[in-house]
Amino acid sequence: MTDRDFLTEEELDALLPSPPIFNVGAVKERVLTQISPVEQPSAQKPSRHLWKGLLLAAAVCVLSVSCLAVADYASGGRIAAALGIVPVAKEEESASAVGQSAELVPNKPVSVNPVKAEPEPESEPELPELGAELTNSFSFTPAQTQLLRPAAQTVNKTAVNQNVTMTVLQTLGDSQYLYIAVRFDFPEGVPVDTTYRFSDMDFLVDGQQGNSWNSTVTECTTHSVTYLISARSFEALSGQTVTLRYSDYGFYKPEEQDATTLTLPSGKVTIVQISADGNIVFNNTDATVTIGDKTTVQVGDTSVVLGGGNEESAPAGENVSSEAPAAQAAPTNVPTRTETDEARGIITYYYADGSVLVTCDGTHGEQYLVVADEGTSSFRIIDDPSGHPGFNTLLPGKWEQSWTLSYQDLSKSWTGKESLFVPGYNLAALRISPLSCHLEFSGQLDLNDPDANIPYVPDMAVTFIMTDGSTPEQAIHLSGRSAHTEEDGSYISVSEQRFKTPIDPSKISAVVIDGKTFPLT
Amino acid sequence: MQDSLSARFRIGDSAALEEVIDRYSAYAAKIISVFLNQTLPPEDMEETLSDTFLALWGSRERIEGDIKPYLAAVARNAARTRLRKYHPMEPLPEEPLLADGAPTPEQATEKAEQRAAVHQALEALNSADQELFLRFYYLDQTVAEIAAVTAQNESTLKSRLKRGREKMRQYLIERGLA
Repeated sequence: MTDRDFLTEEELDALLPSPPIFNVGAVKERVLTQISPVEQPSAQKPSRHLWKGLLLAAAVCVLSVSCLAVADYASGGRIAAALGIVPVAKEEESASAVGQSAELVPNKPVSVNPVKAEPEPESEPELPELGAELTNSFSFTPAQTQLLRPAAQTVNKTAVNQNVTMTVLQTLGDSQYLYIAVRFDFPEGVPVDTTYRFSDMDFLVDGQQGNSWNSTVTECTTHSVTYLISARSFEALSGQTVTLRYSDYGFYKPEEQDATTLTLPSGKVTIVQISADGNIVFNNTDATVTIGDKTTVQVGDTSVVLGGGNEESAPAGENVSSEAPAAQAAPTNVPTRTETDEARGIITYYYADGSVLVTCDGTHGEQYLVVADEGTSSFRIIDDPSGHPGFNTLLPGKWEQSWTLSYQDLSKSWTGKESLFVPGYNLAALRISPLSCHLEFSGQLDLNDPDANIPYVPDMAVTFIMTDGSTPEQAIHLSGRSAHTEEDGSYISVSEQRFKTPIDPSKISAVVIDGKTFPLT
Repeated sequence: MQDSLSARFRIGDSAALEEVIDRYSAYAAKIISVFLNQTLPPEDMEETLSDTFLALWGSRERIEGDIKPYLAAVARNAARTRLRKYHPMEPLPEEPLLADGAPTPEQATEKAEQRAAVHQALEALNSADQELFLRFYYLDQTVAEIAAVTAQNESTLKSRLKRGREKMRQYLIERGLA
């Protein structure tokens, strides 16, 4: 039984066709800039007298430096040379020097300035070969690889910090979608596997805000990691300058924390929503439970230490009839289990002494462990209740590279105004690229009609007419939409679909939707 | 620790606000998306999420215990506000969890019992009806709101709710749970 009044992540996921896309950094920026300035994290403010002193000192410095600069210019730089002031080295050179001199000291962060690589001259436009990083990630066929060459751009720009080299290898894009392959090469002594990662990544498009992205590891060796970044923008990407920035290399480690005891309403066994347990990993697919070392479980007044990386399996969707995780891991200290109950991802173990062990889906895709003790009407959250393990930085710093996107958008499109599906739901634009299909509808809501809705079409079937006149039977199905309504009731509704395998728009002459034909140009 | 984060958030620690955003924005985004039955464009989602966390921050002194239930309620309300932008309907209901006037113990008990019963008997329903009941009981969506976001007829939804309740009642009776 539960008295929670909100949906779990699992229940929400089941109701969502795809995960929402947003930039958490942008959310944070919006929120933090809107809270009261006194609430912002800040250093201690200098007093008014100190400010006056600083301003006076700054003015004197500016005048002195200005006079010195004029004299130095007049003397052809001899004054500066006499004072030992040398020209500032290029950022990349100094960064490299820092990297070469810095010793690798795990768990002992040292302060390193952000490194922004020197912009390099743009290479001459040429048709690039699609690199292995992209072709392997998508399993492109040779024909598809050839087709996509104009939409690819070989970047090959590097930024070095802490002897770690970031190389932006290649991009592949259409009007609004962009894939970026980026590799990090690490020096000897730096641990490299999927446990280790960068604490933060940013993808920025100059002058644009509505972009989003996600990142996956496509290859990991003992000395390098290759990521594939999948980005989306609401404005055209080709021709824009973009920046890719990574921060701090390290790993997440569950913090050691004491068990927490919360009081329950009398006479009830309650499941509360807490977050993941770093030491207990539940695999929802095959109902495998992996218990990490030295996980403490408290059942009633008995404290039990689980451990040894035990792995237990139970058939998904069935009651766990084998030993409960706690019982199998430490049979000597755990009360006899009398019953189990599993429903909707929640497994409850009932013990003879009245205590109840409950495992539930966590908020981050893992599960957490709660021990509910009916005897004392309390339960204990075991191990890492925050579910937000701290990030341990091994190599502090930033790795950043900017470049201008220069590739051919292979999209074919149609624009106009044609009512589809529902009267007044007007197709305004459609675009087919090798990578995606994009439909844009416009319309007007009657603000006086309380029942006025943006029409929702659960499944839009899009079929093609090829240049040779043939019509493939297979259709593209677009479900879901995103929409934006203005104050005056006008709206734009977008439905789009990324293709799992690329298509060749040059062989498509028209698109058929809702029985109407739209020629592509 | 969770309690520590709640406590720091409650007293106005902006670092705790950042941590809450990091930890819970994905969850809040899912609530908003499900409530609207669509995935918003990223910029709209970011705006709605910002509204959510700002509202949560503004009400932080009223939060007791875990932040998540409050966040869920605030996210629902932010989604409801966004829905109003798409579909002007009846006046917005009062924010249920953070409103000054808390429900009476009887109301709270009744609601909790209903939810518990729904949770126990959901498996008696098909997936479409499960979604309908989750929306109605857990997302606190009105029939009009569900109709608006799922493009279904209100009376059809009311009939399905009625039939579903009957099915669930039967399910609970058969198992000696009601």
